[in-house]
Amino acid sequence: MAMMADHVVLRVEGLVTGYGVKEILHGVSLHVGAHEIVTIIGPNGAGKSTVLKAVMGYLKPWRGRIVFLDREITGEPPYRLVHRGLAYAPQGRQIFPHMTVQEHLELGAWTLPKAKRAEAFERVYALFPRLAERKRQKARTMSGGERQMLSLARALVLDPKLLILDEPSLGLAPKFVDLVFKKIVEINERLGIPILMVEQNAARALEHSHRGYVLELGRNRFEGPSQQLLADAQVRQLYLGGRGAGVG
Amino acid sequence: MMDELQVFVEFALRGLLIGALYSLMALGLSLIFGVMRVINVAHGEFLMIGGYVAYFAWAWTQLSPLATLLISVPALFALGVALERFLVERVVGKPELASLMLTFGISITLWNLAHALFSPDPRSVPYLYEPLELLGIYISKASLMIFAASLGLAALLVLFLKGTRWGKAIRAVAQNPEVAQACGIDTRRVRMLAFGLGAGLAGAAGTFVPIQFSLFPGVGHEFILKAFAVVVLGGLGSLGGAFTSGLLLGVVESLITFYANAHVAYLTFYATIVGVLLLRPAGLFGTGLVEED
Amino acid sequence: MTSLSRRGFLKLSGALVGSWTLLGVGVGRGQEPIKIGISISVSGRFERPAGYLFEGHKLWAEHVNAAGGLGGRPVELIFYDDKSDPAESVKLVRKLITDDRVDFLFSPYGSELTAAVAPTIEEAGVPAIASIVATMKPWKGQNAQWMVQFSSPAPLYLAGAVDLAAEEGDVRTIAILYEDTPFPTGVANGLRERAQARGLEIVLDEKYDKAVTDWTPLVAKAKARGAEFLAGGAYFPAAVGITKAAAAVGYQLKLMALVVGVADPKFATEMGPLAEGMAGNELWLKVVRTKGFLVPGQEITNEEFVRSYTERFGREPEYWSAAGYGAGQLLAQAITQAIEATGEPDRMAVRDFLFTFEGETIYGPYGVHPLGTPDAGLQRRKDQFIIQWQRRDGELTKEVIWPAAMATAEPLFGWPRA
Repeated sequence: MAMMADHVVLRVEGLVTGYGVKEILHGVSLHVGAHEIVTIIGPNGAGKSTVLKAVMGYLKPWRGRIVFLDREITGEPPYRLVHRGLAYAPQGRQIFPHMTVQEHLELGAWTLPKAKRAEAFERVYALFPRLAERKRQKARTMSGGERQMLSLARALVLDPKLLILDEPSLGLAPKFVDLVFKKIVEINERLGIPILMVEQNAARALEHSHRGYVLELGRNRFEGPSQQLLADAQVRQLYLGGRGAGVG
Repeated sequence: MMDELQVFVEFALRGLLIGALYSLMALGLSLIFGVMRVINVAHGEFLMIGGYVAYFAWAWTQLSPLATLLISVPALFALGVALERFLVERVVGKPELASLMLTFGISITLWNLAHALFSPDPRSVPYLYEPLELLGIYISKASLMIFAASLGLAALLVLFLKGTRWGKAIRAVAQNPEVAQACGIDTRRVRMLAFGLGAGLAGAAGTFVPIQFSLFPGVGHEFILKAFAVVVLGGLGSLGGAFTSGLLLGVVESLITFYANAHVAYLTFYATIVGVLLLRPAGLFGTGLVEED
Repeated sequence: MTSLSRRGFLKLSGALVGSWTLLGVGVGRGQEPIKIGISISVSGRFERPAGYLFEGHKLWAEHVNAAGGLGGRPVELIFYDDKSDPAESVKLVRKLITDDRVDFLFSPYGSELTAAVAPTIEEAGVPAIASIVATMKPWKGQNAQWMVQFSSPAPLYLAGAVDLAAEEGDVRTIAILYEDTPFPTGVANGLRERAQARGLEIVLDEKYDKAVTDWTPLVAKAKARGAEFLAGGAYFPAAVGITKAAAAVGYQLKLMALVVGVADPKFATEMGPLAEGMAGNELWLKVVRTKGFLVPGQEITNEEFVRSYTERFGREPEYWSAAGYGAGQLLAQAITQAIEATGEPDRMAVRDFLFTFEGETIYGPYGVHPLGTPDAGLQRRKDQFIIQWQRRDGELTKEVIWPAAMATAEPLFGWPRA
C-alpha cells in the first residue's frame, strides 16, 4: 500500500554522503507521504542518523537529491529548511540546558512573527500539559522523559510540515518510552504532521509507524509497510533481535 | 606613612579598578569561545587596534577620550565581523589546532601591520590623570571612569544577550548549536555577530589603554596572557565568571605587587592558568554565557 | 669581499674657518703621520649614528692638523666600512693592525661591534679608545690592558641624579624601580651604589618584568614606603607609565629621575604638565659648559666645537659627534704626553696615560679603572648630565641641572609642579 506520488512530502534519491573523506551512505533512497509515520531501522553503523542529518542540512550531500514539498532542497542549510517547514529533534534529548521551558518555546518560535507566538505556544502547551505546568523550570533540572517532551514541543512550535526525530526513545525509562510513542502517534493523528524517525528500538517503532526502511552499511536493504516488516522472518531474525513483534 | 589597613584597602581597590579592564577583555574572549569554540589568540591585537583607533580619533578630532568609544567599538566590531566572515568561519568546528594557528597568524599579521603603520613609539592620552582623595586613599579619576565604563559595557552586553532576539540566538548557539539551527537560527550570522561583539569589547578595552597605560604595537601580548588567565579561572565561555575573575585577579595582582613584588604578581597569572587547568579545568565559576545556575 | 671602500687621507680642508684656520701653522711636511685606524659603519643599520661619530673624529683630526699636528706630525685617519657587521669589523681591525700598521685605534660604533673587536685589540696590543659604547662586557672582570671606555656604561647613566638629590635636594630616601633586563639593571646598580655611598636610605629596590604595562602598584608601593626620590625605569614606555602612575596615586615627591625616556623630546609633548620637573639623563648636550685639550697650549670649548661642527658639516652635532671629537681630544692629550716623555708617540706611554688620566673633554669627564684591576679600562667618571624639564616663557625646555658647574638652570625640587 505505497503512498501515491502526489502525496509525497519528502523524497530522498540516491543519497551519498559521509564525514570528512569517509563515505557513510552509498546511495540511500526513501520517501515520506503526507500523514505518514515512517521509521528507519537498521544495525549500528547503518547510517540511519546520517540520513536525517543530510536531510536537515547538517551534512552536505555528496551526490543524490532531496526534494521537500516538490522543491529540491539538497544542500540547503538547516535554518533555511526550518523556514520551509522541516522540524527536527536531534538525538539524545538535546536541549538548551540553561534555558527554561518557556524560553525553549520562544527560541522554537524564533522565526515566527511576535503576533503569532502566543497562539503557537498555546497549541503546544495543550499537547504537553506537563510542560505547561513547568514553564519557568530550567531544562537541565528536568528528567529525561520531560526533556524529550520539551525537545518535541520545541520542534512543534512552528507547526511544521514534516517532523524528523532522531532516536526519540533512546535512553528513556520504559514508562517514558511508551509516553513518547504515544505522543508521536498523537502528533501525527491530531495535528496531521507526517513524521520521519530513526529508532534503535526497532520493533516498538515499527508498531507505531506506517512504513519502514531497513538500512544496512549505508544502503537500502528492505522496505515496506510496518506490519509486513514486522512479520518478515528475515527482518525479524536480523534486525528485530529474532523475537516476536510486540516484545519491547 | 599610611597604616596597614589603609594600604591594604588602597591596593585592593586599585586592583579592583584595573581588574575591570581585564574583565572587559576576558568577556570578549569568553563570548567568542562560548559561541564558536575558538580560542582567539588575536584578541590582544584587537585591543591594540582598538587603542589606535581611539587614539587617532582623539588626536584628530579632540573628542573626549571617553567619547572615542563610539568610534573604536563599532570599528572593531566591523573588523571582527569581516575577519570572521572571511577567515575564522573556515576553521569553526575544525580541531582546535586549526583555529589556534589561524588566530595566531592574524595576531602576528596585525602586530606587524601596526608596527609598520603606527611605528613602535608608545602613545598615551593625558586624560583624568589627577587623583581623587578619599580618606587618605588616592585613586585616579581615569581608573574610576574606566571602571564605571567597563561595568556599563558589561551590563549592556548582559541586557543584549538576555533581552534581544539576536542576543537570545547567541545564547542558544552557545548552549547547543545543533538545536539552535533546528530553531531556524542562522548560526553563521550568529558567529559573525559574536566575533564582532567580542572584538568590539576588546576595542573598548583598548580605548582605555592609552588613557591608563601607554599604547604600542606589542601591548596586546601583555594583555592576552592576563585575559587567558582570567577566562581560565572564570570558566571558558562563562561571561559572569570572566567578569568576576577579572576583578579578582586585578585585586590579587595589586596586593601581591605590594606585599611581594611585581615579578611574583606577574607569575601569578601563569600560575593561575596552570593551577586551574590542573585542579579544576571547568574554572571556578559558572558555565554558559550569562546563566546564573 | 673585503671592502676597501674608501681610504681617507685627510686633506686640510679649505672649509675650515674662523680661529681654526688661523692656528694652522704648517704641519711639518714630510713628517711621518700618526696613523689612527677605525672600522666604521658607513653602511648598514648603524649608518646614521656611526656617520655622526665619524664626523666628530674627522673634525678633530682637521682641527689638530690645522693647529700644527702633534709633535709636528700630522694625524691621519685610516678607515674601512664594516657594513655594521661584527664579523666584518673584526676582519677590518686585523687588517688595520697588520697591513696598515696603524699606531692607535678608535673602536667601531656601538656596543655590539666593539665587544666583537675587543679581543683582537687586546691580543695585538694597540692602544684604543672605545668612543661610544655602553656595554661593560669588554672590561668587567676582563683585566683589559689596551682599550679604554670613553662613554658612560649603564651604571653612570643616572647616578648623577643621586648626587644632585643628596647635595642640593636634602633627599634622604630613595626608591629604585627598574626593568629586569641587562641595561636597566646596570642603571639600577649604579643608582644603588651611589645611594649607598651618599647615605640615602633605599626604602624600595624592586625590579619588574619587561612585560609590565601598569606601574601603578609599584609606584604606589614606593609612595607607601615614603620614598622622597624615585629613580630608575628602562626606556620610553616606562618613563611615561611611571610618571602617569605617580600622578594617578597622588604621589608628591622631591625628585623623580627616569633613565632614557624622560630626555626624549616626545616625553614633554606626551606628558604635558606632568613633564615639568621630571629629571632624566643625557650623554651630552650642545649647551653643556665643557671644554678640553686640543694641542699643547690650545683648548676648545663645547660651544666652539658646536659652532665649528655646524659650519663644517652644515648641520648640528649629535652626541655621537661629540663622543667622536672628545675621544680624539683624549688621544691627542695622551700622544702629547708620550712625546714629551719619550720623544715619540710611544704605544706603552699612550696606553699608560689612557688608563691613569682623569680629566675632561667637550664630551664630559673622563677616568677609567686603572691597569691591574679586574675592571681596568671601564669608565667610572663619565656621569651623564642630569636634565630636567622646566618651564621657560611658558614653554617646556630641557635644562641641564647637574653637574652644577655645567648646569644651565637651577634644579627644581618637588613634583608634580602643577
